[in-house]
Amino acid sequence: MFHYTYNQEEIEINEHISQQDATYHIVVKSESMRARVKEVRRYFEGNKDYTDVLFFSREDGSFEVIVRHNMIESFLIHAFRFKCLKSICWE
Amino acid sequence: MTNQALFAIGIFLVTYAFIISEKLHRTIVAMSGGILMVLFGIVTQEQAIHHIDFNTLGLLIGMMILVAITAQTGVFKYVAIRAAKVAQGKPIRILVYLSLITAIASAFLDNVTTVLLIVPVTFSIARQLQLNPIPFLISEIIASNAGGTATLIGDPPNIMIGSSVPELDFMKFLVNLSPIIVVILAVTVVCLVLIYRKQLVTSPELSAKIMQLNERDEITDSRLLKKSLTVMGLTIIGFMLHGALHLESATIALTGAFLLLLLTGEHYLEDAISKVEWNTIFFFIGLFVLVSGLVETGVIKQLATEAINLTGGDSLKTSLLILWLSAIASAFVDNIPFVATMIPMIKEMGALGITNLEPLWWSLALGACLGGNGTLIGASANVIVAGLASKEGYHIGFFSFMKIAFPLMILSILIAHVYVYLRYFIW
Repeated sequence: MFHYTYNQEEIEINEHISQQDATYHIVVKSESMRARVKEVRRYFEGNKDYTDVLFFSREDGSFEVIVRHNMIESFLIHAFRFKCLKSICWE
Repeated sequence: MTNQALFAIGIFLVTYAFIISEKLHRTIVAMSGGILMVLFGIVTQEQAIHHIDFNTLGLLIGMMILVAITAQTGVFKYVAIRAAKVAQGKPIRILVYLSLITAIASAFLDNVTTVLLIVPVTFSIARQLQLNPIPFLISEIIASNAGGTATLIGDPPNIMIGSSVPELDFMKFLVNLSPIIVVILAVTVVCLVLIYRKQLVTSPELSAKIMQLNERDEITDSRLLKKSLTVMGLTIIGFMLHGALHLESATIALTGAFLLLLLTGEHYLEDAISKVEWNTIFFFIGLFVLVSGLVETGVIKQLATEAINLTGGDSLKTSLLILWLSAIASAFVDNIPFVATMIPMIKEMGALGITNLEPLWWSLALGACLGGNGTLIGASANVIVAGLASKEGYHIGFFSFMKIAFPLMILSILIAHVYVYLRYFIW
């Protein structure tokens, strides 16, 4: 299982994992973090897998990210790579 | 029949069998078949090159570049989410709107590109509504193949027909095919709603979640969007006028593509070129050379003579034979090689005495494009959507698809049958 931490002053992440996929509700608290989340989004929307990670923006400025089960680790690694997360580790 | 003709038929049939069996990539098979035609001396290299339709290739490449750049703006996702919100998150309305959007987009973009753009958004909307996405996906497949039939640039068979028959320009395709496609689409969508209405039920809370989506945030680059939409609009106007301007459709598409690259700058060049589906381009090249072997050895002329003998040279009977034959064949085999074989045959029928070839061309376009809806392997878009669905854990089986789509395809061909009869032989 993957464990991750984030800076709660900049971002709030709520995770819901079902059998098929994981849904992350992400609230960003700074414009720099919003830009970083958009970097993650650009990365996954630019690859050739069209349904691996699906991003949605909500009217309240939060994001909903639906991640295919086999892509959860990849999503978290890239969220870490673009500095949306503080740490990731296997538990 | 000469030995050369027998060799040509042998190579053609073996190649066709390999394409249908899908044991090897269809591009490798088609190119190998084409190369064998040259190696066996059935056609010379010059003849082979002469038979490659560079107008078809140019049109495909131009449109692929235009779409690759435009897709980066997020406009397609914007439109799909906007539609879901206009539908107030109600699943039946969403199915209708997404089907219509897919059909309209497919009329101007290639079907594979359209489904690649619309399917991920569909998965997301279905997940938000906690619904099985399969009814939406099957509706989009059918709408995509139907919409692509409406214009010269919508589906490869039409591109090939328009390219081979210069007098059939963009406007002629639009005037002759779009009215019947509107009718077919309306009937098909109503049938799909009736078939799936019990599965398309969600709670008001989940519908409300759709209304919270912010579609404006999907537009990632508004400057690029303005440039892309302007050039796309100019390109479509160019297609409408290409007959009057005496310009080939490939010239219009490539002008649009490189005008956009001129406006966006060279950093888009490499990505846009890499997104051209070179496999498809080489598949076409292989097929053109493969069919050239049949043309040069007189096999096509022989087949056309046999077809005319069968119908007594009657234009109506020949049109309807082509319509049904193309539909049934295209449901089970790739419609691109089928159309590549039929085009020289219809031209030969003209040389053999059928004076009014236009109904034959429209029958071929309607049959080949709509026939692709018959089975899961009937068109590239079907295979792509099934592949994406399977990645998501939703299996669209050959028979489960056929159970829904084949009767709808037959219904659409019946409507087309009546249309061809009334429009070209009665009115």
